[in-house]
Amino acid sequence: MNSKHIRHAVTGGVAFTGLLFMSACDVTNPGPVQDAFLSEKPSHEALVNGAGRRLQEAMNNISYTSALPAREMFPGGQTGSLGHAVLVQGGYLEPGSFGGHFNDAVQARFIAETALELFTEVEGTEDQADPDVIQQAMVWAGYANRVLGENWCEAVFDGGPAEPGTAYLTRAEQHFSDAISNGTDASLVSAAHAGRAQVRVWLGDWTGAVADAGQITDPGWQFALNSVNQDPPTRNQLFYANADVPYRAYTMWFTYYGGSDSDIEGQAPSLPEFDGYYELTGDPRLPVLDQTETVPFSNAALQGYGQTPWLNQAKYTSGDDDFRLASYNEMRLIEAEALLNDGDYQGAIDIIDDLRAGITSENGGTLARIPDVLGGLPGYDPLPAPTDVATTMTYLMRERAIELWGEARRLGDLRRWEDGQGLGGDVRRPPFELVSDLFADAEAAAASRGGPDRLRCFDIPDAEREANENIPTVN
Amino acid sequence: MLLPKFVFGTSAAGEGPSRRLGWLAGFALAAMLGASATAVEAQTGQVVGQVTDASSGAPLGEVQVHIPSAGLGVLSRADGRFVMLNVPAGTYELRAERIGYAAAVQEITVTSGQATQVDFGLESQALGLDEIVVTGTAGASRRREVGNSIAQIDMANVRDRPTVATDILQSSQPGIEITSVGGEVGQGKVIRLRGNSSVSMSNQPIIYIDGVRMMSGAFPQTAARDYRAGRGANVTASPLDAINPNDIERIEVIKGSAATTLYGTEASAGVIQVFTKRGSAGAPVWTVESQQGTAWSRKFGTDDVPYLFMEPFMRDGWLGIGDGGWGPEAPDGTPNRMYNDFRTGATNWTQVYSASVRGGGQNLQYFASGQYDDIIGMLPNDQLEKWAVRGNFTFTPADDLQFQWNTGYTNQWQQNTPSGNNAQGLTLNVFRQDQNYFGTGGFDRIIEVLPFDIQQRIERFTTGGTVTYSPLDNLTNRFTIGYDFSQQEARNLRPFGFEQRPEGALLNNTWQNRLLTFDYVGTYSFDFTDALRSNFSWGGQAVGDEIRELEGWGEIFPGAAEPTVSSASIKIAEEDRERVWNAGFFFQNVLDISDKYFITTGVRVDGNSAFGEGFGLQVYPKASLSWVISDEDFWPESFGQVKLRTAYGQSGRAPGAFDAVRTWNPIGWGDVPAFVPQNVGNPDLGPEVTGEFEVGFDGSWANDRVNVVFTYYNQTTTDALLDVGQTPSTGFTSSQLENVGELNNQGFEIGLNVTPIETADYGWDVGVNVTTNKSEVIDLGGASEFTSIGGWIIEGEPVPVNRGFRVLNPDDIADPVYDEQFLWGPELPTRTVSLNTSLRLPRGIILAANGEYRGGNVIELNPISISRSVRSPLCSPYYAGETGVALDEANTPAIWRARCTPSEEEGYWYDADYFKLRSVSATIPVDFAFPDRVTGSSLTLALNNSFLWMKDIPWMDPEMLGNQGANSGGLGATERVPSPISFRASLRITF
Repeated sequence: MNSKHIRHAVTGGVAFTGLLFMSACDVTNPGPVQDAFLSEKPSHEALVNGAGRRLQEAMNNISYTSALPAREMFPGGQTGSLGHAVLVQGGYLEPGSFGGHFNDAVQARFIAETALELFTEVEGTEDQADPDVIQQAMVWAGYANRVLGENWCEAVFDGGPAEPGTAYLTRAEQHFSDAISNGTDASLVSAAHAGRAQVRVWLGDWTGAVADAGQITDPGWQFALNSVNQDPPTRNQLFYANADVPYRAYTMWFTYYGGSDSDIEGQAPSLPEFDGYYELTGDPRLPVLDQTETVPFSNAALQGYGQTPWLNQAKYTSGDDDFRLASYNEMRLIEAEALLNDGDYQGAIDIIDDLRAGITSENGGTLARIPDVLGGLPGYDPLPAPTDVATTMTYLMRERAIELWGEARRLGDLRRWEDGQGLGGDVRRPPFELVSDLFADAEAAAASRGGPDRLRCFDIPDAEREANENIPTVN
Repeated sequence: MLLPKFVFGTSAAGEGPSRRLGWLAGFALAAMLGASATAVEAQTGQVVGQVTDASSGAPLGEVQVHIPSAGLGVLSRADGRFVMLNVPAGTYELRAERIGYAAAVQEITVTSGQATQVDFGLESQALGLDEIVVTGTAGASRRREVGNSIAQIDMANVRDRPTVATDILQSSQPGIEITSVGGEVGQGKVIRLRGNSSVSMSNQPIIYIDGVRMMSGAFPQTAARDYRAGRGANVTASPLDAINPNDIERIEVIKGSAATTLYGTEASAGVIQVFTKRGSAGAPVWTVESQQGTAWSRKFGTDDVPYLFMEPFMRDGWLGIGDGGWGPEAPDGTPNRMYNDFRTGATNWTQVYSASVRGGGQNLQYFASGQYDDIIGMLPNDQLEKWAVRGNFTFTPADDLQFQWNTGYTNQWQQNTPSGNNAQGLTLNVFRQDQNYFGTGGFDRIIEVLPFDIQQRIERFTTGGTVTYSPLDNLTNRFTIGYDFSQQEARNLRPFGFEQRPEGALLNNTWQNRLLTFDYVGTYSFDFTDALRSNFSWGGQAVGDEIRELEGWGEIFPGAAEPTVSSASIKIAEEDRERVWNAGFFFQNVLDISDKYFITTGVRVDGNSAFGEGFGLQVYPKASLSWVISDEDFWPESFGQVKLRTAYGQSGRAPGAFDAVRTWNPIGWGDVPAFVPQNVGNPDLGPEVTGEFEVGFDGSWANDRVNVVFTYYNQTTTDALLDVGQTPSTGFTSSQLENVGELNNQGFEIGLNVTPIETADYGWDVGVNVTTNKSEVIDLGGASEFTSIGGWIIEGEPVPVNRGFRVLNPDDIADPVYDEQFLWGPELPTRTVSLNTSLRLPRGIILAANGEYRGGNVIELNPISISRSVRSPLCSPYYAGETGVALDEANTPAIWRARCTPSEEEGYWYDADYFKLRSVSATIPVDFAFPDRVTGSSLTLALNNSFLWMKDIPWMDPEMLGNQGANSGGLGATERVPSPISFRASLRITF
């Protein structure tokens, strides 16, 4: 009797626990998917779209951060939401920082290139990828590498050693070439030509660049990344950085486009005023609105100055506004710059004038052709009529600044011109130093730590340096 | 005290309480129930008497006096007296029982129409060595057998009638730390036992109720989708608070892995087990209680700005909510919206009504209860209404078989004010004054945030049954099955016309947690010799934990009609689901030598669905020794009773559901599908394992008038889960959990309870609990320093440590010079001292108080956004003018330049030492006001949170945490109001 009870109890208990044990631990949860799922044909398009999404997120971050060292926008002093650390506001891209920017751009490249490898593996099987999907992956791979190459001074792939940043551009050129030669979608072929023109400029292949640019003949053509306001990581971050919803972290005040004038009685800095380009010309490519009567200041306070007047850009008017990756106008400016490289400054002037002639002023102002009145920035006289390559280069650099404002291009352009592709001229950098010592402090910080590159490109981030034994850490 | 205003009418929110009852309703309820207990008088007599403490003669209340064979019983009053009516004439065995005292039995003969006098003098049980404890043991064990410390909180000793269960734990025992979050109604609290044993996973202890695993941690913070970080009330309710405190009989707490081994993989942060009341044989015993209270804010600003401009928005118990001093009209003649639209509910008021009944026959006993809470909080939209019901049944069909089935259900609705770090919240905009999102500090403008309608409906349901089958005297099988369901529906509406989002937006987030518990324990006892016994236990447990979250978001409404998500022009839905199963089995043996030495050895083996595929099973061993040295022949009786104990055990914490698997996130991009890399995966990922060594003693001297519980603990978490950075250029940029870290926690816990005075009329108890905690990150396993749980995780430093700017020249009239990487010290307190005392006066009046000191840590505390050019009241002495934030630099030391300069905003680190008087209460027996058939009645007056001392912190309150509320990892401050001072009066009647 006793032994029977004991036997039954122990047997039952052990059996019960064993049953629980075996049944309990094999769980598959819905949601995230594993690698194997990606090989299946229905997943291909989503995988390639992932590269586009990450590229859009990278553009969000790079465009609004690089606007400070490129002086496309002026910092409102915000250090928290949509703001930056004080020295970053001054233009200093601290060594090892901005890992999030890097991660997004790298993932855009990684996803697209992973997709291309995957598509090679499934070639000839029932999961063989559609040509358009393959071509789209090539285009995203090209642009992801172009964005990396323009904004990072050094390149790093898959945990390898650091390479010159042009490694990204070389890789981008190959992806674009593949998209052109293998693709069937005409719009993607155009996007690939435009992208290849951009990277060939960087690589100094002006002939190739002009040839590709020449493939873009539709004046309304542009290739853009979809911004989605409803999905915060993919909403247009540059719009929010400047917008009154709610932070007003940046302002257009004291930029070349916004000028130093504002409607704030007695609140403007005691600096020589200069008119903003938009107020003077009404150029619709970069509207700047002065709403200081109702919303006078940016959200925070700038070190060494205080609250800055809030001027609002209106190129992007909502979080849904897309980021352009390439456009017809840019192709024309590439052609103009190529002519300047050949010494044909008049040819360049003609192209720029043609572009401007096609633009209608929004405020009845004069969207003057060259030479125009550029306003009286302190220390700057009105520009003379161009008479040579160098003086024409000033106009070209200004035109690229206007045309490509807020598209994460200016910082790269400035570096490219500094690094051997400059042809003289005046880049007309707004003198932020007149407002606060912060900007000189940022330059001093760069001089003492990280070098001049820290004012003109992003660094390989700490996370990469710490995890990648081939890259030294920043001391 | 002024009586509150009675307000009858519709509340501000459509779903809120529609009527406010007052004092009289509570008394009426009690009187009605009392009157219903009519006596049946036929061939019966009475048993009357008094129960006292045998040594002191002090009367003992709450003693269960019962006649098992007749199924009759009563509880003694606070003065020890009892009256048992309608006892059939005959001879019986009368028993008197109370936790902490040895049961007493007398034979009595009841004569028809006569009163039989019986008095009991109960002997206290020093150390409670023969009390039964359950938590952390296999089956039930006598306390003398247990080699680890175990805290037991008996509700009969909780004096101040808390309204939520978490408050029962506050300052109750060493090693238990309860931290408030803020003054919002329904806000949960953070629970920590012996510090942090994990830097990546939860440090909340797991909770069981009557053997069934229930949700631990707090409900998640919900905020509008457009700004996840804060667009809400930032209130996180605690599931523990959904339990009616009056249903609780006792709570057992085991604080570390030395005791939690048998709970396996989820138990390294400790285990709390709540035991609810069970039925008892006898006539129905009713208990009804009415509790009324109010609250008001302590000053939390500076002398000049004591409430940081919040006066017009905060209710108190007397004047209600402010109106800016304008009355119904603003100075310009326009309606004052604060007066006309937002003053509904008048005063800050808490009312709680509860009733319970317990009784039953020989085979079936029951306990049933109900509770209703109705609270109007301090902030203008804050309201809470809660219903809780419970039914517990014990069925004993045979001597060797018992079924226990317990079920509780709670339905809580609350409406909160937008608060916390929320640009569309009240506190943030008030604190920032003219630098806020209205551009003005005028209260008539800031009230435009109040239409932000934030409501939560919380439902908690726990049901579980335990079958105990003991076919032999020495063989017991216990099987428990339980189901715990928690749901929070958070509705967060900015209506059409809301100033900061004119087209309106609505979030409806439904979050559910389901826990399924299967538990089996078998115990077989056998005697090797008279002096050598063995209790061998085996068993298994499986817990399924599933979380489902479904969210609907809509924005842009067609007009001002009451919307649903369906009304919106743009609608977005999101869904998340995850399920984790943990299953394990264990064996344990307790070797009992002469009933003085107890050697326990055991092992638990666990599998978990979140472990990596290549990991396998985790083994957790345990061993402990208990020695009741005072039972030795050589131990003089005058040396008191002492038990020595030591224990070592391991338990763990599993990674998250997806942490081990390489995954891609299907995230979408606008209207097209998209995958992005999510988690690189780690097939070898396992739990972090905490091993703890404990040694200590329990001692009792001077006839149990001096009690000491001492424990030294040293716990080391190996294989700690750390977020290890991946190489971003490889594409998987997110860090991956890896078992690479090592952490240590050690400290002392001392509980000292002294009874300097113990006579029949007077008694005085004094208790001191001292806890120390020294934590250290031993090894990061090659991972980089990182931030987590509110601070930095750095080798050789506390878990976590605070790092930040330190001003090196604080007193110089100069610009601040910083050490930018200064290690300030630990985030969590390293020493906690709680004090409690109770004074028993004639007529059974008891005065009690408890308070708590915490210190040894640092806190960064400044909820004012200096960087946004907010003019901080704290900086007022240093501003150059009446407006703006320019400093009078000639008279501003560097530390204040650092604090008050917008571009700096540094230097807000403070020594965090503080003391809070948690509770002061008076319990007054009011039996004289009721007839004899009322076996007990008492009035309790309680003043909570009435005093705060801070050593270094100049303002605010160290317990006003960030937006994550009760799920916060560390301490800190955000734009909240601190927990208020509250006063409550409670009338409890038992009959």
